[in-house]
Amino acid sequence: MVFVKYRATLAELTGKREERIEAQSIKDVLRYINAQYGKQTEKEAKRMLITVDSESILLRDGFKTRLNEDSVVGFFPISGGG
Amino acid sequence: MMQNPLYVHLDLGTGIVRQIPISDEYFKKYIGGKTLAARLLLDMTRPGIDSLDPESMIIINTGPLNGTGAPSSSRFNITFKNVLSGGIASSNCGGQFGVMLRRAGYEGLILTGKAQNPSVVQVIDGEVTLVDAGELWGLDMEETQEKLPHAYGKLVIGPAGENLVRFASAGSGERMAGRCGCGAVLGSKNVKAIVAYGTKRPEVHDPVKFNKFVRKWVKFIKNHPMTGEALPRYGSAGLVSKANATHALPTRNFKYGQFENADKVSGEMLTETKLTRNGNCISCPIRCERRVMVRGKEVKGPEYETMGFFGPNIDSDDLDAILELNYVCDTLGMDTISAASTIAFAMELKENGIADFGVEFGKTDNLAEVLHKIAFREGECAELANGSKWLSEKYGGKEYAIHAKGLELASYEPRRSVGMGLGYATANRGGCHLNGGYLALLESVGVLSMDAQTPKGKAEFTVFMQDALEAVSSAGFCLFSAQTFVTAIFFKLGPAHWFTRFVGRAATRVGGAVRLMLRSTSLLRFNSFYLLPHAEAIRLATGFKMYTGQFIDLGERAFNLERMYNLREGLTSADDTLPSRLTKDPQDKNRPDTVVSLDAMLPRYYKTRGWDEQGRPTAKRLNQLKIEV
Ligand code: SF4
Repeated sequence: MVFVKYRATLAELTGKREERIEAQSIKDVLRYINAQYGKQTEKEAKRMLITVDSESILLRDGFKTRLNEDSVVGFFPISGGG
Repeated sequence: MMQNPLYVHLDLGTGIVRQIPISDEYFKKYIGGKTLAARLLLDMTRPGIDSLDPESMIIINTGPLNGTGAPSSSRFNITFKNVLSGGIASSNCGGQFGVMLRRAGYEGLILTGKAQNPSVVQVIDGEVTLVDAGELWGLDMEETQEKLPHAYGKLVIGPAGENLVRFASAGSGERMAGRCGCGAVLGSKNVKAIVAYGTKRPEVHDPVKFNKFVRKWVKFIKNHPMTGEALPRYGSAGLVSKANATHALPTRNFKYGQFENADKVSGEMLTETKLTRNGNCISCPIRCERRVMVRGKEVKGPEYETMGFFGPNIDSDDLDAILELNYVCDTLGMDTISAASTIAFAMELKENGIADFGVEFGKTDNLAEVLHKIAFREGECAELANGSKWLSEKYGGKEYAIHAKGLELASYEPRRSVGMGLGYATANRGGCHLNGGYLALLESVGVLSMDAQTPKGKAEFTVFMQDALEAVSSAGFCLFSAQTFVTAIFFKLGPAHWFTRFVGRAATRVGGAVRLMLRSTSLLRFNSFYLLPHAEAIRLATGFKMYTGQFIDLGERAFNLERMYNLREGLTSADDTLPSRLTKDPQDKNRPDTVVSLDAMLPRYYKTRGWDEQGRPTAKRLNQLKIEV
């Protein structure tokens, strides 16, 4: 079971801040979000900063990033400033 | 055409006031803000004066867009000799002061000399006077402003400025000209406050077209995902999560780039648990300011830098402490970045058994007191008021004193954003991300992701971004208003979409094209609303020819002028460097590329700038930029 943390818009759309789900990759997590919370929420999730064990999936395999049993997946908003 | 700016010079020692009309040539070439101020500082001061010497000069000026109602255009500039680096400093500040200075009849105020007693400079409807500061001396920033008439634009210093803390700030309302020690320069001149008031409305060249343009621009800003959604919702503090995810969040004095409890000190957490409402600078539709409660009072909340530096960089996950320490710095009048970074350095000195200033990683309960002691230069903390470079020269630890040219780095770990590292090393004011071109936004914390480790293309992008930000600032705009240049489509697709990733990756390969563009600015005779609306706004406001090419030239002119000042004051290419922790010690021991490879980037950077191998602007380039030596 991987641990998923929802932040910002995704916490609002899912009504949850975290949950445990079965998933082998980020694609699986997105599929789960689609099935559970609808296409719009999945679309929003894809727009966000996605992390696995606190590291951006951009530094790994993007949506194809593989997950372990105890992986922690995070969804965070994109921000700016400086 | 817009009327030429009128500056006023006050000699604080003699009380002599002199109006300085800015010539057509200077106005057209240097526009205003930091560019014009750099020119004047070069022209009007002799080399080698100490920043805190009475003879030193401080220029507080505006740009042609200040007070016109253009979005995010209330920012004013302060240029002076950098107390921490000995080179140039310019500080961009919000607050009412800039707009009020223009209404009082002046685009710029120049101060030299030293007042005999603690004083207040008044600029009221064109008249400049010096009055006794009386009971104001000794008060904090907040108390000082409360005692001054409500309707005035104010620029004040706190106890840190009075006690010549080398990173003392000046503040207008709750907005700070934080970096490089302008508070100390004012303190050294016995100036506690400057107030401005007037009723003159700034005019624009073509009001009908200008107002129409402004309406379109405001709409664009509000609809852009960055300026209409991300910044208003999370402020700059929203960057904590992103920086952490890319190993670019300075942790334990830049030893690491990730913090275990980053979630607890993130912008999301700040918004969810502490935000009372948003605030903004005058005429800003972005409204990035966080309002939070501290000691039962609603105050301005911390920016990203402060979140990082009073959080992960001192190994703390205490969000309440961050809010408190941010407020303490703001009332004492100290730059949060330099103060917190110097404290982190002192913590590491203690950890290494070198010196003990009573500060320890992870311990925040005594830091409010430490900040007070720094501001008043008291006890064991007095020396911290000199900044990390000074401390490292006295005690050692130069390899982990995290500064460039004496100015503490901003909160982006450059070993995971090497272009940002090049920017820090070459920024004229020292370790500043904004003056450094802010490549971190393209490499590690934005929606696009250039390869953060490769030196390829970084020199060219750094030059382009440094110049663009200089130009934006010169006209009186907030730099955040430039963040719409990353088109909305990427936010809609998301950072992990193949197209966004493709563009990010491809960017490192187009350095040559960027360089060509920088060399062919005369061909850029157009304005792109979606890329840089600022150029068109300047054109409509001033009536000058101002196309994208000229706009970039303006920024390049500013950067070269500042560089010339630094060279004149004795800085050299040897100062375009970073501490060895960042250049020699890989952040990830298994990845040798997680260092800032300055050697690979600097020569190309100088070449792209048209400078010689020693980093000196060539006569040819200065001539092309129409800069007289
Ligand atoms: S974006 Fe933020 S800092 Fe910039 S002008 Fe607007 S409110 Fe001020």
